Amino acid sequence: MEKIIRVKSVSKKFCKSIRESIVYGIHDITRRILCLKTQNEKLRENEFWALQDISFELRKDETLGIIGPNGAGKTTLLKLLSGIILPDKGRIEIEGKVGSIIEIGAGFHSLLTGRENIYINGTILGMNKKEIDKKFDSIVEFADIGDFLDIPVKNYSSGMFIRLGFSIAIHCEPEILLIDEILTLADYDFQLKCFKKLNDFKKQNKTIIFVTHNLNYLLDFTNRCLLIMNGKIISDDIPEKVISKYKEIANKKVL
Amino acid sequence: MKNPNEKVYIPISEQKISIFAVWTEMFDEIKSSYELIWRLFLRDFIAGYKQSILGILWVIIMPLIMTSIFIFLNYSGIFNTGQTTVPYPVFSLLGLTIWQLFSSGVISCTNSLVISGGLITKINFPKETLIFSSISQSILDFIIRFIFLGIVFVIFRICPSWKIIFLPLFLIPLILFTIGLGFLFSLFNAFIHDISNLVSLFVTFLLFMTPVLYQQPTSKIYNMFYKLNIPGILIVSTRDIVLTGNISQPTLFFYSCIISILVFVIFWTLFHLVEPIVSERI
Repeated sequence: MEKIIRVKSVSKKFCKSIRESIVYGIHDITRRILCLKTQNEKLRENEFWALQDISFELRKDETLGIIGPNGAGKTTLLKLLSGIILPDKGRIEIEGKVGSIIEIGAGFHSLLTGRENIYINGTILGMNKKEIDKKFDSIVEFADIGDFLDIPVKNYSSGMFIRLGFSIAIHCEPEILLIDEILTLADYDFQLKCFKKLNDFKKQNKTIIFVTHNLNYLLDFTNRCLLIMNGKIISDDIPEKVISKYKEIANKKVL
Repeated sequence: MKNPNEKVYIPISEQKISIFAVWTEMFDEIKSSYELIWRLFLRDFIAGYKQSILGILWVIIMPLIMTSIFIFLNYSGIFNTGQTTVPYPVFSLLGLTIWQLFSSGVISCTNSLVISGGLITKINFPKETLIFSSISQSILDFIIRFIFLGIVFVIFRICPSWKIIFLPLFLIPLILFTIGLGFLFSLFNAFIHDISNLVSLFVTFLLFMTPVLYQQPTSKIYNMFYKLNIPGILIVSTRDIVLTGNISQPTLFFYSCIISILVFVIFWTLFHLVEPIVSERI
């Protein structure tokens, strides 16, 4: 089957200090305007590789899980795949509409009601008014927040926030869905509901990339897994093998 | 076999700059995101007045207070506003209304990227929409003030020139100039947050250099500065159109229009080209 995502030796660097980040930024902008090549290969002072030489390809019917310790570069990878940030080296090719849930409720306005936020967030995520009108009832039903729909979202509990945000995001009907570690805050029955929905996605032959620390989810839900540590892919295999490798490394470190 | 949905992300330094390709890209992006601009505008408009008692009235309170202060300054002899052809409140409120389209536009555009920083780092969407939705807000405020101005005209029994119907046309260069500066300053401000304060200072300075609260002096030094004050020239010319129907300095107005268009095109292009570098540092 054809590959839908192709990531070729992608690297991304970040700067540890705000001051230098500004200086480098101005430097890069000047070179960009003057059409000069920037030295991306080398690290400047106080820079580090958040991701280094990442390569993998994904088929349409694959569900990929990403695990790794905090700060390993998992979210950075999702941000690169959704085009929020651009790589410093390498190349990413993606075929299909990408929907990403990096953070729940990004773009929610705290003073506005859930109803108003559905329209705003939906539009930011790429739907038009007609589509949102059509899916509105379904979004509300899935979120299941009852009377809170007409209350400003600043009064929501964090669980309700996730319910509404997740519900909007999955109704955008992406062909490739990127989900960061977000479901852990939702209650058990909403998590079940989400996985039911994600299973529907799988049946429709849609691609899902999934970051989680819940190893059981990976076993139940994914058919391939990446272990990322210190910005590098340590292991790329079936979930069982990757998880045992992850456990082995973690055990060595802690015990 | 090219998939229209295929996206390729490569390092920004490897992207070739071909000016026409960039312009087509910019145009397509705006064409496909007018609905997002509208939503962001609506969001800020509704949310802006939600936790306030006077709400939308604030839009006209500001110029009213400013005018009152200057009437007092003039009356008490602290500051001479000069002899105006129409009653002073009409003169200054009209000037301030047009002025604020520029000032509030520049300031809100400057802050737009930083305010939406949370959004920019979490969702991929065209950042230009933030600038355009900010300016829409300023344009709406302008319309509200202008309607209020109608009442002021009636109270003072002043009849504007019939050429007032061309007002929207004459506002275009001012709006383009405002957006252009907004693009530039918002980029800087995303880097260094001092810019926001500097822009406020700059706008205040410009207000005192622009003959909206006083009659234009005839001194040589003033005229020298005035010739460099592009927004000032555009504002005065627009006020001329409303009051007399004739622009007092048409050549100045003409070259200001050209500069406005250049500012708009150049800074928008700049914004489009370097925005990814800025966005990841916001």
